[in-house]
Amino acid sequence: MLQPFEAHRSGRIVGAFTDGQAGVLRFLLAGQLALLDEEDPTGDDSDPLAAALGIADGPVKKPDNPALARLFPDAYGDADEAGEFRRLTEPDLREGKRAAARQVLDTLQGYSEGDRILLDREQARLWLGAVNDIRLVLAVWLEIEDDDDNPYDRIGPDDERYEIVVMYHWLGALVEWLVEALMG
Amino acid sequence: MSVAPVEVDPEATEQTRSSPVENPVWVTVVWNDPVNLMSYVTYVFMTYFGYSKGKSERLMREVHNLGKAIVSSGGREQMEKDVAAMHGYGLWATLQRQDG
Repeated sequence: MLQPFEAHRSGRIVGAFTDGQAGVLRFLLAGQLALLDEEDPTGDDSDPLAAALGIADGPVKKPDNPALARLFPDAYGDADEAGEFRRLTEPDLREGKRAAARQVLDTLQGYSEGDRILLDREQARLWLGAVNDIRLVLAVWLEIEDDDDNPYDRIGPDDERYEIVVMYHWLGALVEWLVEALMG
Repeated sequence: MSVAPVEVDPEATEQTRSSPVENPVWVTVVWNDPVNLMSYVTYVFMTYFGYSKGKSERLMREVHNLGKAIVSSGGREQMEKDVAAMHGYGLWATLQRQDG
């Protein structure tokens, strides 16, 4: 497989994908953006001032959706303290994750094979965060709960989740390449 | 972004906030998860905390082998900031009093 990211002499990172890879990324990013709008503590019926300040206007409970609960875990063992922490931090965290996913999706709109994506280090960090977040969500759907669990061992090509396994592994390779390009 | 509790002392400095006599010391704990890659966790510790590659790798291995590691310590406000940042990176982090 062609290495999708390489460090360039200019200090920037060059990305190149096949049409298929770019299509999968766009699909996953759109799904991630939809997920990040679920159970939003600063949703439509929230206080406008609190929303403007980036905090929720009341206690915020842990999301019911396990993928959101993974992206926004409890910061405290105590439920009240965890709820207060969520009230003050979750809106900003959601917005940060949304902004990263949106930027990557924007970069990929209109992408076609043979194009080169030039990322400065800040943009590459956003790509890394967005790709890693999607990987965390796919792992929830694949119920990966153990360090030794390789989903290829238990989910075969006939399983409806097999495509998720393939995407999960590919995103892992993207994370490795981006980290290497950023730290190298 | 600030996640300060309401009782913030505007006169507080780094020294007074980290003084164990006047204010308890809090710690940020990062927990092992089976998904985040070792290279990514190392990258996060280097990028966010500014730790050396050696220290970041040592902390990453502690998380991986022991299930968790204390990655920073200080005043509660700073630890809430650190935990929120870890969540931003997708790491599973909590904070607690050091003696707790």
